[in-house]
Amino acid sequence: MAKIEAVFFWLSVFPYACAFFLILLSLVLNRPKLTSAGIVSLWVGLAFHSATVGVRWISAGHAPVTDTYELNLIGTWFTIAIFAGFERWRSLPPAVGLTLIPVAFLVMGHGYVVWSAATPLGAAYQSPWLAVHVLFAWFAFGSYACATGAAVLLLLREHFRDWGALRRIPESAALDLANYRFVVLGFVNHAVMNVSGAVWAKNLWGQYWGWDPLETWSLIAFLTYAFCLHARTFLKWKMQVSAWLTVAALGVLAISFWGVGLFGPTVHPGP
Amino acid sequence: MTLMRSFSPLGAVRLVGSHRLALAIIGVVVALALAGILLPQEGRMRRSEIAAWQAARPALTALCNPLGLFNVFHSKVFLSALAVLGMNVAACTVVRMADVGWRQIRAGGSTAVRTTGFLAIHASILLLLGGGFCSSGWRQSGMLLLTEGQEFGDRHDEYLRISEGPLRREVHDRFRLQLERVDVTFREKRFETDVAATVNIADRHAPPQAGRTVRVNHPLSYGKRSLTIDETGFSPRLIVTDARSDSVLVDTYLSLTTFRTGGEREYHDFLPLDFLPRRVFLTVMPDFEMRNGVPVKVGDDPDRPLLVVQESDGGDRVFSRQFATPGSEVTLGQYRVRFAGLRRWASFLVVEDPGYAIVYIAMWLGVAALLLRYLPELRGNRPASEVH
Repeated sequence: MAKIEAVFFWLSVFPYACAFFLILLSLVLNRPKLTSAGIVSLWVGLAFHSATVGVRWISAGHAPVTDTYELNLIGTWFTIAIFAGFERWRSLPPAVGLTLIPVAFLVMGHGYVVWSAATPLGAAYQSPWLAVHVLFAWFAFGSYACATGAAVLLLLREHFRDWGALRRIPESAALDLANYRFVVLGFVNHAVMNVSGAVWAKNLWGQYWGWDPLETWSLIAFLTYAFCLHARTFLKWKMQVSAWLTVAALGVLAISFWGVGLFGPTVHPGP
Repeated sequence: MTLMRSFSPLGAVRLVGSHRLALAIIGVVVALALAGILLPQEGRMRRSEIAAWQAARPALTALCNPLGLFNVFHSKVFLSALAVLGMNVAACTVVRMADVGWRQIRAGGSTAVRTTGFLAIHASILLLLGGGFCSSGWRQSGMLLLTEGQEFGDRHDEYLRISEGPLRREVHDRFRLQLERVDVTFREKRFETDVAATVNIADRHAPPQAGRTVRVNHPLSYGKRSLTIDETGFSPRLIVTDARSDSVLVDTYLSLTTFRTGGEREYHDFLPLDFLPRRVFLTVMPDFEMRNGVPVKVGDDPDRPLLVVQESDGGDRVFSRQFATPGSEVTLGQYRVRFAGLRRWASFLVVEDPGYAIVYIAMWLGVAALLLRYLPELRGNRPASEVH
């Protein structure tokens, strides 16, 4: 990894770790000011994370969207940015970061382990649909990750009612609503991702849908989230049931990003 | 009498359009799609590979075969599930709109927006299913390969493979395609950043066009057809002569198969001439350099091409390995093989898909409809499930 890229990478990891521990300590010790410090640390980490993305962009000569390291790097950027933005402007509980930041760590760490040198953008990627497809893919993933963060907090709150620290996070109803809204946001972005992918596939491969394993698993993830939304609206599955569904759905989505290759070859050069 | 009174057409529509059925059918479609990923599928794997997999798992095969799970996306089970989904979507839309839908739209406000979104989402799903059905039933797709200068005459046997939907009659109406030139742009000698083919094209239904360009990600539309580039490779010109009589036995461009391993490309194939004493395997290195007396491929631009001619027993035993640069020749027993030139080949996918336009409209309608349906929630309004 280029030196400056590595420097920025680690400079983003450290503030993210600080943010996690500050928010955790704030809950445990009942010190709200630590939460504020944690959020500041998160924004500092995001700034360095942005610099890492920028350096990679410049060295590659294109947006970092082609290999696993780049996709993990930019995917976690979107996840943290969406969380930080909604925390700042839409009153998303900062405690959601307690579940998101470790996930971001794991994904960034995986990307670091499989790091490879930047390569020029291949002919197949020379399409305006690449930007649309990848942008909305990461908006979707970031939103779903935030939904899962809220869902996990809700489940912890409901299962460990006696823990004093958990009583300081928002009410389960607020977490449930956050879960739902982020699933909706992710679902709309997911739809655009699927549509732009189909149009791109038609231009590149001559067919808009080929039941390729990655395409099919993306559809499975989409239908899983559709099931979550329908179950909530029509079967009135809310709170814990809805939270468990959201957690399971993220597992399905994660497979479509990182696990489908295990089931056989795919024409889609995904993560 | 009681039974007749309790049955009504609207009741049947309600049953077909029930939310529980919707959720159940989504589950069935997901389960079948999972089978399509986990089980070997025709069209994605060779039949011999599928047969070997099935032989190793007879019990599972006996369970899956009757359901058509080894070609699940074209199976009756899957198509039936999609048909039920379509009926469910249509029915639930009719029921919802009859019950409260039109009143909600007339009432205005966020509920009207949600209801309009609901209507549009379900219309887009039906349109999507309809477009998919048209594609499955009437799509024709053919793969053909041309070397620079070669012309294609739309005969069935000129296609590498051709498939058409069951409702479409295969038609060859003298569509002609000539490949003039293939241009491949590389960066750092091995990263393919642009591929373009210049073609002349004509058929009975549209004016002929010369010098049109087909580029990766930029298909050529001609009449009802669209042409996309699939792969490119190299075709060395080989002149095979009998050394005893000096007669030319073969003068042809042989398209070598392109193999991609990781980011690297290799170009090999067998020389299919039965009269040669041994099996001959050809490799083209578009750009090479010698390292310790052995040629090594260093790039994919044909700056300094080399033809490697290897005689073997078809297995691991290699009898000879010879090299030829353009214009030079090698000797194989009583025959001489001259490497007389190098051209590129390109393979094209020629597609006629009457369903794509419908699917395209349906997809974007669906996205707009989702925004409409969920905009109130995204703006902070209470979810619909808590409003009524």
